[in-house]
Amino acid sequence: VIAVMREELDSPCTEEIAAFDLFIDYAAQDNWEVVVFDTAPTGHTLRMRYAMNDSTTSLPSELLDATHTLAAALAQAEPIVAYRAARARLDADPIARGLLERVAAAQADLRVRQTREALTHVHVDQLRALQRQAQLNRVTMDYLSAQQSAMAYLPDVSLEISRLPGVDFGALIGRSSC
Amino acid sequence: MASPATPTIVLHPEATAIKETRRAIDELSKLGIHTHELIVNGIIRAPEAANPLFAARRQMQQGYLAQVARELPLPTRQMALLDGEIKGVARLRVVGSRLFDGRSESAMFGTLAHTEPAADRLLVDLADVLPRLLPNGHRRTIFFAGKGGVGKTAASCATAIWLARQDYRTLLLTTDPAAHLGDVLGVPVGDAVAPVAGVPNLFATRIDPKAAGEAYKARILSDARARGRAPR
Repeated sequence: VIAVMREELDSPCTEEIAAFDLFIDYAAQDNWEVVVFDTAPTGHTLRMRYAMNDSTTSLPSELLDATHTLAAALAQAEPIVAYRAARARLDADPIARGLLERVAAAQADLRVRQTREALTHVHVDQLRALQRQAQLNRVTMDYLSAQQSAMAYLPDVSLEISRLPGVDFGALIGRSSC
Repeated sequence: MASPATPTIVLHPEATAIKETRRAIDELSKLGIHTHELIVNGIIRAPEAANPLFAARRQMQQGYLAQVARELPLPTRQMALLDGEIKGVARLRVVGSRLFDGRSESAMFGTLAHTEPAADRLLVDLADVLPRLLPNGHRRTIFFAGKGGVGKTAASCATAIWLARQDYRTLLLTTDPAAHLGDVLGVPVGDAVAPVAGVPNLFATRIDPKAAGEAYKARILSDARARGRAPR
């Protein structure tokens, strides 16, 4: 999954979103009365503005109502309930959270070393040891498996929605045109 | 975002820039964002059209200015072609005065304000433009957009300097990886917010899209891993 994500993230799109993210950070700071933004040529700006407007939905009200109903129903669905409970346990458990964070940090470190060709067996072994530790922790493992189930459940929902008008919404959602 | 955002499009009085401007205005309006003004840059003033080259170019520009007025009905400010590069705080200050106060602060603009009919229009349009540029108690975000090379950076810098001189605490931002902003300001602009020397109230920084992209990627991937997609 991470490899796929990394590939997806390797696009000029990412730079735009990231730059936009930073821009929002600056623009949200309280110490400015005016923020003047010198943008790159038009296309880029349009995408930025588009991303900015993304948060305010323009869905028609009947669709908006329907999504709210769907979200409420989903929140009651067993895999989602289990996932939220596991997530809450993880959030309340600093040791389990710390473990996952350390695994993530070790993996990020490994990736950097890999690109710099400074990867050694010591680092790989360290990561494996951390991963084993995470696998022994009940809270992290519960969380990970609940997450897997929740992720497997959502495509079923999208399949069910797609059955009606004969459009594969799952395939449409997966492709982000940036 | 809660603060009002105002896109200004900068263009040259030329076919390609007008086309790009129209496209930008259309795209933005589809998103419910209304371009609030245009700045047409590089205008050749009548007294300068003394030689055949400039006379022909001015005639061309006037044609396109008429087209802009006809087809893009937005408040439009004009900026004269200058005798030198727009570079450094002092010159940007002059450009800002020309853009905002409609008056010439130095010999650079000669008697422009008196000889150009555009000067009258400029004052009329400013009444329309200023309320949307000044913060009025809210934080204001001003975007400068447009085709490459039309003067976005110069217009952004001049605007930021002018606003800072009106006592507004102003941040000037760019995503230009080449740090062109620093060249135009005449002071280095780095990755951290820093005050601009010689302009109280003005701060500047650049966003390096490459570096931001890398940081963002690392953050997303480590988030994903923290959520447990990785340890297998």
